[in-house]
Amino acid sequence: MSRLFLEYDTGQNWLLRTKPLWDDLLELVRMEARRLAAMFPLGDIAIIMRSDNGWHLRFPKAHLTRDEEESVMWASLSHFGHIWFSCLIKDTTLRVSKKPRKNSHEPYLVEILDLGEN
Amino acid sequence: MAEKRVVTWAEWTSERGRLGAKALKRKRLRSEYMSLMGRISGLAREERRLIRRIPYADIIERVIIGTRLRTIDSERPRLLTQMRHIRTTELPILEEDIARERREFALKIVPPPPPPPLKLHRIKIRLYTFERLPTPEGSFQTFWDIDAVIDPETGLVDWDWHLTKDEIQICKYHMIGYFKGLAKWRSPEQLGLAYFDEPAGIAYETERAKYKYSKNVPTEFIAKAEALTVGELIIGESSVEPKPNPEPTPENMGVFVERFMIIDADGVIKWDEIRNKWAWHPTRNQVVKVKVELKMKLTPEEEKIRKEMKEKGEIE
Repeated sequence: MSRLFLEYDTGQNWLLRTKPLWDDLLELVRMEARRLAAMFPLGDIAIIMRSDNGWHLRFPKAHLTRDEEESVMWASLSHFGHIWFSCLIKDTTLRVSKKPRKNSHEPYLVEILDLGEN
Repeated sequence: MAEKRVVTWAEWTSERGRLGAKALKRKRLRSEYMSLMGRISGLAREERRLIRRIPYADIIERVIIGTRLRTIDSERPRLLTQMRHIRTTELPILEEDIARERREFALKIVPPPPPPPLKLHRIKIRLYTFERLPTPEGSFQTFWDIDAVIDPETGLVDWDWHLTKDEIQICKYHMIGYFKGLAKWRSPEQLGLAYFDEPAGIAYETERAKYKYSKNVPTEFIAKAEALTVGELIIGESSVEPKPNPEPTPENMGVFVERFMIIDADGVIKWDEIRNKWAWHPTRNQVVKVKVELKMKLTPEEEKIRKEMKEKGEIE
């Protein structure tokens, strides 16, 4: 069984294009977390983390099969490349260390979202 | 013991303000008491001086001294009465009041709950190389199971935990060694020698494989593999649910190699080897150290090891 890891990043997804130094579009990520939690049983909390140019969204208490996980990922607005690659290698991963280049940092915790009302 | 109560910030600050005002009042009363005491000693000094002067004074001056001495005698009991009231009545009441308020004030602050104990888990990670394309980055991919401690509330892994850090380093060395075809699957103390010293081929734990890539792997990847370094590897956490490890032993802890992959820029898998093999196990002493750290129950054997380690100063 799997948890659900999603990545909201710059790139194809114009809606979630964000600046590295601004915590802009956080509200959209919150809305997305609540939207997904309302559609699928993903547990009572969602964890929002800041990555280099975007956001990581984790549902640590989701218990999904691999197929369910892929289905929810396709239903989300997360980064297309990340979903495609996750399907290719049949595993979803999110970066936890920094990249070996300048201006990169380890993703850090921004918010633990309570989804209890869903 | 009385039950702790939660109060609002405004209530807490107003209570603290009232307590502060009472402490100030006590300070003022003490100061007043000391001032009265000073006045009494001043009168006593004056009385002594006047009495010493009597043998040398004329008749008129003696009358004046007598009048002043009578005034001093009448003033002293008045001051003593005031002091007695402060010492015996006002100060004890105020002290008791402050002590009671302080007790109540302490009860209003609810201490934070103790943090939940960290639990040992087996987690899955991915190590990959940094490249701009394909998306996400990386053409060399490896998948591993390692040990980690996890926050039970958020499911977040403590990446700074010593064993996790060590095992990630071991994974990195094995990955580089594997793709260079030069890995020697040695003990962790010899990891510094793990590659560059066996040009003939990959030496696994039991077998001696040849350095030979599949025909599907383009030569550009072999060139890239030969230039790989530990520094360019990125760590990714898998969404696979961590498995709790309630009874850690050297056999079920360590670094487990799951899979090696090479993916080209078009997303075509050029190499996919599922190994499912242990690469490294911690020693019995390391397991005991972890169990002591996580406050887990030790077996009699482990208890003996713990005592030996404690004598050597390896653990607290």
